[in-house]
Amino acid sequence: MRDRAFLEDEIRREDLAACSALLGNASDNFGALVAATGMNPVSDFICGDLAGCDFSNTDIRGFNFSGANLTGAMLHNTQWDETTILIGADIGGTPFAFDREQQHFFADNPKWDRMARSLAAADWMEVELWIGKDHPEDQADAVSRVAFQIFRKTKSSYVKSVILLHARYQFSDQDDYRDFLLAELARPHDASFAVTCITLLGRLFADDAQVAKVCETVLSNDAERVRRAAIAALMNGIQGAHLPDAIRRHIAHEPSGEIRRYLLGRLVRRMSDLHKQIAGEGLSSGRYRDFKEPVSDRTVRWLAETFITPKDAADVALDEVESTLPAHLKPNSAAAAKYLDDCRRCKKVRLLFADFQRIGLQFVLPPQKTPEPSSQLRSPLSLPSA
Amino acid sequence: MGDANNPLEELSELFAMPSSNADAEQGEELRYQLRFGEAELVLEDGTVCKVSLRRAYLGLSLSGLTIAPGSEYGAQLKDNEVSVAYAAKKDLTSTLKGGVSAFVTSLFVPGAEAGVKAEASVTKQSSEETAYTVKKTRMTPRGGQKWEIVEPSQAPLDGDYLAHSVALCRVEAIRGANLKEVTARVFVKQRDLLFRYEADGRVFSTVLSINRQKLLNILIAKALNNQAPVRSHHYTGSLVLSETVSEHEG
Repeated sequence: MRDRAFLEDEIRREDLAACSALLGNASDNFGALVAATGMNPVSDFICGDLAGCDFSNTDIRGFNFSGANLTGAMLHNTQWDETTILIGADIGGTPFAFDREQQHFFADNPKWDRMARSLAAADWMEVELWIGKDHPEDQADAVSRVAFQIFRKTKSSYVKSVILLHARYQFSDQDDYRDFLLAELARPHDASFAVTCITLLGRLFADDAQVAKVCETVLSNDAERVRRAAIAALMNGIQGAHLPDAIRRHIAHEPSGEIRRYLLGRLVRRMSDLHKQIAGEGLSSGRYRDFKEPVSDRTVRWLAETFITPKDAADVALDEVESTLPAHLKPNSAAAAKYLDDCRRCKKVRLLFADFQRIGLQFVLPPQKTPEPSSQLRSPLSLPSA
Repeated sequence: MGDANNPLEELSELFAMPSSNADAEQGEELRYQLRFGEAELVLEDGTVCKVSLRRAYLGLSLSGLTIAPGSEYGAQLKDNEVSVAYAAKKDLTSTLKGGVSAFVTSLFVPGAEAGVKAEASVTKQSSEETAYTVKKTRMTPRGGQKWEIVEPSQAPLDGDYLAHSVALCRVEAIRGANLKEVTARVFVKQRDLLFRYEADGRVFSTVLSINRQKLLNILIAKALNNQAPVRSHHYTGSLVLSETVSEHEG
């Protein structure tokens, strides 16, 4: 019998300090907490109770979960592979279980395993031809498993897209298919795959809240190319009241100026009335003077909220004008310059800018005399001088 | 009485008891006192962590001895004959439907119509269910000279599970063996530890996120492991809570 008052008298201080570090950590991310406490992924989770843990956005490659209880674990955007050891772990109801089933299936069926390996290295056409074949009914399960294996192993986003298109017939419940697409969208993929996901998702949304969710997922992607392509697909493929709101909220946080302007341009185009006023056919030379109807306050307010900086607004206006240059006008030509000048002189555009100024956006209209075509193309609007 | 090492005595206490029977024919009985309880640990920020066990294992490591077959405490020979309980529900539903429609047109009474329709339905249902009870033990011998200790109700282990009055098993000497020694260890897997946290008198397991709570549990298990009787025991998900070594004459 030892002489001590409390159990903690014997516990090492560094062990207690690790507990305090965990309690004091601001993040709730599993990986961040493990790193903050200096836990060893190779040994500390063996036989551990991790039921219901959230492994989202965590790389658990190299973790040893042998004998652990992982039931109900959440694996949204989690990276794991064969180095994640799950021997004897309780993985019921998690995506790990499906992975294990797959492993057993391919271990028991080397023919299908060879097929999956070969197609994972094939191009999209070969995969399309194979997957679109009229497979016997008794092979449906094996075909689905091979398709999923190809999906996981291939490096080609085209192949992934092909499988994703066929996958919609494998899901009896469209909600499950939508959740699958959302989960895939959250993984680090390239732009074309993200576009496929969004295009397919666009047909499956039930309400605006789901649209908002996919916006959040897409817009948080670190890769600029993916973000841009995904946003374009969102704008084209998905209708919903939350979409402009979600994008408008995102603009302020968008680090890329190019994407920010692009977004603004897309939002402007989405407003068909504004599109007509700024860049519609009525704007062509000789007809713009016919515009008399002022831009509504609602439109102006919306633009004011949307355009973060006057320069953004100017760039968008320039893009709009340039993009609608009539086909018979060569860019940078004198005729084009005249057209652009006409645009600037357009009463409607002037009215719009006046409205901007009225609500506080400081714009300075360019001088009335025609500048050089090159500079004219660069700045139909200019920033206020300091 | 052997050498006992119980650094976490609030949680688990194991002592070897002197044997009362050292018959060369029947072998020597191994007797232990085994007690479980709840340990309380105060973290640096004042948070109180209460640890208990849901399941533990008592393992024996024998030198020069072997366990007499069938002498293990808690062993239950299962009945060879098994009564299978059926909860069968037989549905017999037969429906006879018949429809006869006669359409009589009288040349004499134009537009006269007569319809006859017959329908019959017979339904029969029967079901039988059998209830039976199964005996469960708190200490169940497992392979590899181990006993699994668990409350059938999955409640925390609490109280005495072995005492002098109970023989864990009988051991027989291996012919020619010089050293006859038994090392008994109580060990537990991290997933079988139960944790309860309190701060300022309130349980805040609901306030801690699942991730935080589960990782804290593992950190505390590691901290407890560092007090393990086997100092060299590197934490790999299980903890040795108690150890006792006893020598035997055999």
